[in-house]
Amino acid sequence: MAGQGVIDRYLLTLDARLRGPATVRRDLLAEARDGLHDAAESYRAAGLPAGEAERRAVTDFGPIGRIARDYQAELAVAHGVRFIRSLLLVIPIMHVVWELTRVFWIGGWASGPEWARTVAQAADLTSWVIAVTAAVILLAWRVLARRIGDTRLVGRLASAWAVGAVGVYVFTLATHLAILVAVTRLGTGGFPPPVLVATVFSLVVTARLVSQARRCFVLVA
Amino acid sequence: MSRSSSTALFRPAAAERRNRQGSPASLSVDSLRVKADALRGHLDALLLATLDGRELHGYAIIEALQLRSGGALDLPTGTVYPALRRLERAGYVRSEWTTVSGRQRRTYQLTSAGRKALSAERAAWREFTTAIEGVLGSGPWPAKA
Repeated sequence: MAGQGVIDRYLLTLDARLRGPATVRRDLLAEARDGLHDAAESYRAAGLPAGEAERRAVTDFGPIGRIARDYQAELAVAHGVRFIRSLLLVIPIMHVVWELTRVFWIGGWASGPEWARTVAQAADLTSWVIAVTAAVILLAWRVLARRIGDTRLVGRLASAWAVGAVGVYVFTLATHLAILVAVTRLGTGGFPPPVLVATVFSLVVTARLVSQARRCFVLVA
Repeated sequence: MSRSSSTALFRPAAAERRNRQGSPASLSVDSLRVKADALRGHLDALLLATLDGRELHGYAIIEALQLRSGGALDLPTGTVYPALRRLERAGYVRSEWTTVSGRQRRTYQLTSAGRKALSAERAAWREFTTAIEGVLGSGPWPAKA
């Protein structure tokens, strides 16, 4: 850090404390940098030496712990919104992938027992409920932001919803796979390559969703 | 958008307080200073009022707050930026990166929802101050006959 000014050191320390979407973090820090340099310029214009002007600008900006807490709350909310958007995108894609796989490679439910169709439809419905809830949250996002002024609370609610939604989604996906294996000809005929590809794709996407949901929880902690 | 003419004159409240520490005047000035805790519930409305009818970048907003309050608002300037993001999330302001005085800056302006929210805040504030003034500003009760 030798040769760096007080403002640069402050921003580096602040950056080291922040976790979250890189673009949002860069944006927040760029704005903070602007504000700090403006404040230092103002002090210099009032006659203070450059070093002292930077020190005062940093002191006015606030204790790093408090500022990092506020900035981290923004990053947690930004990550939460991205996660909800991605879930809204992933659920229909996964549905289409499995419907096509079932129609072309597995066959209809007609050959299986009645309970299997009922359970599969219930699992389908559950994942659609998650997608619709995600859409409602995004549509009502501004209203929610107006009603809940506390950014950290918004982040906590988003992370709680994310963890719950992913938990339910993983359960519905596991149910689907178990039914397919148990009651279709996959049980005797093995996994045709396209079904194997769809299964691996589903597991990779789901693992990514679980990781991102966990990150929602970590960022808001 | 050019920088406000107050820049050279502006000395942020916290810095001013430190300059005056130890002098008898600092006590009376500090007692008038509005602390961050007291400001928390009003910060959003203050920021909206600062942006009323103009587009400003973050530091110009801080300067305007200090100027209009006579330097009495004592809050860490770094808390203003997340507050502006919160207002943007609520749809009360919108922001964009623009070039101001040869530098890239994020500038903010009110949306129509923000203008409506500001009008409602102003009406509520007038109602509140009228009620408080009625009690605090009217002096002692007349003596009983």
